[in-house]
Amino acid sequence: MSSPREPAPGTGRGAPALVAQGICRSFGGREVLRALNLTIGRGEFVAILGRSGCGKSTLLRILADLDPEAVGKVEVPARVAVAFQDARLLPWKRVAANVGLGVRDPDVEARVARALADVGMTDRHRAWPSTLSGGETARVALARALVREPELLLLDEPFGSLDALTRLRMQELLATLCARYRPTVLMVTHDVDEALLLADRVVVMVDGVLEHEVTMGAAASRTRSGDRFGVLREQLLGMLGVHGH
Amino acid sequence: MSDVGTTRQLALGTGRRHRRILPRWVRRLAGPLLLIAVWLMLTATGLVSSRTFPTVPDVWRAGSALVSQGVFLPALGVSARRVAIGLAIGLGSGLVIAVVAGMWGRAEDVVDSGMQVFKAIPTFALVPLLIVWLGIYESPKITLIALATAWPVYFNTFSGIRNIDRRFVEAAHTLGLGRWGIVRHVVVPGSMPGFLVGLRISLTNAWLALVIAEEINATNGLGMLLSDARIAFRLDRIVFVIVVYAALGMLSYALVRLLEERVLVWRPGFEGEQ
Repeated sequence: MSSPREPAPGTGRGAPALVAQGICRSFGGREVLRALNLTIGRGEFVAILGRSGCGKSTLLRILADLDPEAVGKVEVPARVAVAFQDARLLPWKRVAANVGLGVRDPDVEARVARALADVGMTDRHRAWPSTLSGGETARVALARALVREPELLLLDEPFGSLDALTRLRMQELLATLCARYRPTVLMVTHDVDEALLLADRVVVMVDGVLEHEVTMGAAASRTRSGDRFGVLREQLLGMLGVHGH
Repeated sequence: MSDVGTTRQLALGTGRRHRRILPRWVRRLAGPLLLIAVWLMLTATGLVSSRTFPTVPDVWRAGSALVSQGVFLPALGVSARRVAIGLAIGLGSGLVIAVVAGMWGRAEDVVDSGMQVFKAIPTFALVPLLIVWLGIYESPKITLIALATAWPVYFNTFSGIRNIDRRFVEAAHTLGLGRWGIVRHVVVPGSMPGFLVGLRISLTNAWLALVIAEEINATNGLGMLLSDARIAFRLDRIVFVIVVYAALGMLSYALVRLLEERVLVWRPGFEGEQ
């Protein structure tokens, strides 16, 4: 399923796209993030795996500048785009207006049209969000993020609410678009397969720190049928505390 | 032996539950027409004497006489102007105060509790005060209408703003919108349903306030027609003016509904679409 693409090195190729140092965040005395460090290289696709409630979404919100109370140092590029699990399309704007919102470019319409074509939603550009299916909503949310030509793309369980078939198709679409535009991506997910299929590097988050890291090898290991896939899957599930699969 | 399920014939081809032959506004007219029919019946059959309540033709004649004497239209114009100005001031200030209270957390406590006091005071109890302060001509009348229309718009718009999903504000923030952009693209459209509810109540209040306001020194307007008719004991004219008030109220209600259908098309299952 994945298109051929070289694994991007974690660091070393120029300045990293994202640096987070000593990120701490607690809610009412409960420490959710404990001095967390993360560096992502330019063009790298990193997936953060973790059980629900481990703080991975909190980290993403901090990186997206949605959490004024977090402590630590964050360096992100100028153009950051976010896609949420619950899409968050504004219900009072048609699809095209949602995608183009906040884009400062005299040629917004052409860019929106291109982004909608990329996700296969050209013929739905005048639809109201409430009339879209779950998969269509996810596509529009992806278009809305990509139209900004982000240097850093933050994905918070972008396909978490989709049915299994739709999720597979969306993962395929995301892989294709990432191969085409090569943004730096940080994706938060609890789906081990999704992380293995899409990411160059998989990081496992446990109790507010990034504990384990698995760097994916050649593209071959990113297919479900590859030999390494099963091994890595078993390994990651073990790190997440799931055994016997 | 198993039970046999029911068989349903689904509508074929049309794609809608069933075609509506009459547009909605025609169907909605049926209610008022029915009331007029009852009125006609009760007075024409003599069940209700015309001394108690005038007949439909009586009222029609009284109305046409007022129109042909050149009395009615100027009076209507004067009253409509009062409502228009009062409503503009009331809606405008209610809206501005709601946005201020809704957008700035610190303003909320002061402004909102202040407006609660306003709501607790029966607006029409302010009439004597308004006369002392503003006299007996246009300003107390317009002020009364403005006061009666400001708070419904304020309360409903304010709660509309408060009910906007925070996640939309966050999404707008990640899309690079600043404070003004969030007001324009999220707060205003998001609070529109609340505002329109307030607008409906305000329009009703506007006509109500007009009747009260025009009891102050009734030298012109619909209020003058009403008080003149009372002094002359002309029931037909009294009822005619009441019918005019009813028509104006229904007209403004229809205007808001039209506005809602235009502005709220995005809402799933919005009843106006049927």
